[in-house]
Amino acid sequence: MTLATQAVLRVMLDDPGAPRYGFDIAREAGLATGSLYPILARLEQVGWLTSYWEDQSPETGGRPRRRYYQLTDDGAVAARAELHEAIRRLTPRSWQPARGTI
Amino acid sequence: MNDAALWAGAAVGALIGLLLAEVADVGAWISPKLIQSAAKRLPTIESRDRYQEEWLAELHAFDGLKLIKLGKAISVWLSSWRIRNVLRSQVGYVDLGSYSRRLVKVAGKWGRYAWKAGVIAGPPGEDAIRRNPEWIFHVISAELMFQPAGGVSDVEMIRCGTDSTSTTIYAVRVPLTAPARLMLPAAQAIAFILYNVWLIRKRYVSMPRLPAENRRIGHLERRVEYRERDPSIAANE
Repeated sequence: MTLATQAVLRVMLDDPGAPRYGFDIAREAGLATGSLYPILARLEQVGWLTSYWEDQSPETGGRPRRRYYQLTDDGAVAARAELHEAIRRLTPRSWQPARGTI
Repeated sequence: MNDAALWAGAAVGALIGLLLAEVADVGAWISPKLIQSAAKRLPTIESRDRYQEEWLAELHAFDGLKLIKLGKAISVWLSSWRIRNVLRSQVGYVDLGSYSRRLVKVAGKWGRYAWKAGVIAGPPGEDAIRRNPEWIFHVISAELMFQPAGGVSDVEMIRCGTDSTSTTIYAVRVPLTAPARLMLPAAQAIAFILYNVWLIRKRYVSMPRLPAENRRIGHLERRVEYRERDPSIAANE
């Protein structure tokens, strides 16, 4: 899993139930807009994310409707596990407690 | 001298400001067009419509910030081929590499089919399927070779075989990527030539010592031998 994907997942996991739109995720994850959408498409493809149009017409909202992304239940579980694994892999062995010490 | 430098500086500053304003105006005009161009790269009509609307809605939030809007649009445009690749894997596009491999695989099978069925040359057809139901899967594979160029994706149900042993098969036409589509006529021509060269080698060149009239007889004898070996094919013929 790339660092960019991890950044997106971290943003989504901040509040798993909250719907977010593309540029908002890109801003919080510190990614270029262009880098974000392939990641979202891939996560949506594997079923970690779901997306839907906001329930608001352009006439009432005064702006075009946005596409919102939200973590699925399975996606939240899988994302947490993957991030945990990624952190474990990145942690140098010397920083891990020796076996039997804790 | 000082006055001249001052005027020159003011003129350059005004020119730069004018250029920036012009770039910003052009950017505001070109941003939606970049988004449309990016969306056009996507494989399906649904994905094109969805992402175009989504990206335009996102850009709308930057109305007034013309250069930022332009930067976002360029970023989306540059990355749209990556989104296209992700979405293509959902649609099941056949890329040039796998298409070529399939073509090579099919060419041999068609050669063998032609040898068994006694067909000199010609595209796969329903008649050939009816005559030789055991080759239907090869015909399905060969559909790739003979489908019209273009983003076609449909499934056709074909019933074949005799009344007692009819089989239903599904010919799946898959969309090809642009390079594969460009390759299609050339690949068809190459496959056709290779296929005929293979036939000619197998049937005639392997009997070089026979006079021309006897080569044809030898060919017929081979077919007779073949029918004797496998009566089921002979019955279908």
